[in-house]
Amino acid sequence: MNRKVPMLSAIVALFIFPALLISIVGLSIPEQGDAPFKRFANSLLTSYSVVTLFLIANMVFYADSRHKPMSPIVGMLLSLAAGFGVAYLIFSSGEIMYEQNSTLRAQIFSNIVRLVVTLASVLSAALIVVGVGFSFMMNKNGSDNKDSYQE
Amino acid sequence: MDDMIRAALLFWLPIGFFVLGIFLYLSRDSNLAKKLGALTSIISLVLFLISPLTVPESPSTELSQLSWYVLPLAVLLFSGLYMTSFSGNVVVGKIHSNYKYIGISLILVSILAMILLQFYSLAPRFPDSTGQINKYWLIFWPTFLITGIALSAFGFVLSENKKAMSICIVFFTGMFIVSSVIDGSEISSEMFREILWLAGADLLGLLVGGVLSIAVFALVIFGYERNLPSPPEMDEPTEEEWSIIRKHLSSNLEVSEDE
Repeated sequence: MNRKVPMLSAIVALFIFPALLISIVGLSIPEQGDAPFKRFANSLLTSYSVVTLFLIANMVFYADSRHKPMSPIVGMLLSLAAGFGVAYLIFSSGEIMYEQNSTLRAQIFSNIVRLVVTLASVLSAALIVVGVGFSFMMNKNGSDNKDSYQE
Repeated sequence: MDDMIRAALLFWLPIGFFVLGIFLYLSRDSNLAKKLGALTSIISLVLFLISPLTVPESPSTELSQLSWYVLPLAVLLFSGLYMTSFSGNVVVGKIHSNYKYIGISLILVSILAMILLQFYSLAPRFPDSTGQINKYWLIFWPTFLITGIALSAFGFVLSENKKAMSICIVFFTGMFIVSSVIDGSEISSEMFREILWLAGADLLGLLVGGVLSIAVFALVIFGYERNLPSPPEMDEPTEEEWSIIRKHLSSNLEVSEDE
């Protein structure tokens, strides 16, 4: 297969097409204030923290395999610095607590649950798209996938 | 027992142990560790699923209540896709072609059930509350549709299988438009349009946070790998080594010709 991959069109399809649909449908409702920004900020900080935790665990294996014992510590320090930078930018742009009377701990737990739900819905959608594509590929007419030993 | 400790022991701890169990199952070679991991995951999953009954005062248990609805549908969908895929022209693990129709039926049933959850009075609700709809369903449904549209559009451009991706685009976009225009018996179209922005913000935050974290760690690895000393240069093979290479090459070529 020597087909040129239209990567730019694929990226446009991945990001712009759904964004356009959300804009068309979402613009018909009244102003929502800073609620979407709060959700974005909370989601960003939660996903950053969770992915960082996962990667630091992987960095320990990297340190073992490459004999670089300092790599987890350098990784932690860099991710802390980046995390502080992002948190500062977000907090300086406005308040990110959903409710004024809720505690920070309640907000952190709520954010983790939201992240799990978002990941579950992303995985479900991916399961359908990949599964349908795979089913069509496997049920295509012709002998592309036939085992050569059966001939 | 304090409510918070109960929630920690009966809801959050099982989630942690579930992840740990899967990690043990996938990463360890010994059979004992694998069995232990599988057992830990199963017990944790059960504890997580019954948490709306064991810790009803914790609002986070709405997540496990949502799982009661979503997990069976996901299992049904996965089984359907497995049956339709592996009843086709596969080389390994082929099942009888009759399973194709059972698989298609399972897929249709699971999709119909999802549509009923959104539009009919079957929307997940917290059992102990005042009948309010599960707030995480209001995150799940729009995020599911937006991701489905994005992935199928991406697949349509890249994949050679345009027909499958067209079906996905039509399904996800159709559900998206219907949800934003037609009122369900529990969830109105206006409510859907309101939560759409929030779901988009959630997805964007997830993406940006993940990419940022990966970029930081890529930077660390790049820094270390760049400083690795280059491997020492090797001398050219001696005549004796060349003769060994020639011997091995010729013996391998002879075997190939025999076949």
